[in-house]
Amino acid sequence: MTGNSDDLIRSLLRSDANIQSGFRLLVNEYSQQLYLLIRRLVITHEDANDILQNTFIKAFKNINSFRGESSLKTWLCKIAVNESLTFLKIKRKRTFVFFGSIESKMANSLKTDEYFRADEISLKLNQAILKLPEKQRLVFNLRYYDELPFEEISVLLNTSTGALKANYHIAFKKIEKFLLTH
Amino acid sequence: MNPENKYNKENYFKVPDQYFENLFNEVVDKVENSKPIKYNILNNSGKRQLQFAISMAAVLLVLFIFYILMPGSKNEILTEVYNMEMKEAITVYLQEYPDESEIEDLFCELSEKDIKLFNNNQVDVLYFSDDSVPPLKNESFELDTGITREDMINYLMNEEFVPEL
Repeated sequence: MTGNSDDLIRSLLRSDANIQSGFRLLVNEYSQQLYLLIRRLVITHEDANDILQNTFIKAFKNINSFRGESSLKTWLCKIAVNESLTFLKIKRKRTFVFFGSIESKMANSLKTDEYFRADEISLKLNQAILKLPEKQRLVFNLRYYDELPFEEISVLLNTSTGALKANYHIAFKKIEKFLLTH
Repeated sequence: MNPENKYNKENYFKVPDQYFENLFNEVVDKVENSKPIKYNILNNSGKRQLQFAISMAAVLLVLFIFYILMPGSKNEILTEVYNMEMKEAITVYLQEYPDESEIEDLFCELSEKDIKLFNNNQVDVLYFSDDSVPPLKNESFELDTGITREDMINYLMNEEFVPEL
């Protein structure tokens, strides 16, 4: 997505006559990448769908507060990440897990998820990622899968690039260790 | 083994047919009704309650069997079971829950090193010495605390720390 498209979306959203077209363009342009970002964090399609819809609702309602200091994509990703983390926090408080954590439960659920289709080795990679602490998982996904530069992740997570690099490095080592031992 | 070499980045997460095509209309309906979606986390509450009940019944059954078989050591068994549960809970807590300031405080409480070291802005990540994380070359933002996870768990057990999971 280019800055020109961002400008077009913003100008359409500012005009009462074109607001629906602007919002349609925004949803069409960003829904797939935001969905994947959210899905990797919350794993199930049902949860990702709820969070994605809330992300767009929040974006629509707050578009006037977007000042263009970052790209529209970064701004939307920030809303999506915050929504996902809030969701996981609520889920942790409300879900009873006798042993382990909700992440280990999520890792187990991958095997039977009808909307997750991977070979054995990729399943293990995803399970290894789910074993990471939340922040490392987030940084790893944003860097490895979404291929965002550390500078952009830094804006998203309000964390220094040095700390992000360390998080990514540690996450990488843990995944490597998991894959070697499983 | 290098994950970046061995695994491609193919997307394994699938969506129902026509999901993205219908998404706009679904979102617009909700915007018009001005209703953010309430996260449906409790939809499995019945299942969870059953799981909880079965887990508790299993623990009680184990305790009862020990109680019957070894009448001489009732208190020890109860204490041991409690300690095992707490150790498991603290282990999970240390893996998943503390934020950076909490873990920094815990390391400071336990460490024999100069606490000022932890407040150095250049140190962004503290880690347990048994986490097998080699320091990055030419980087100064990681610090091996010299404290193992077992040390921390024992310390928290002695402090009768109750984690909020």
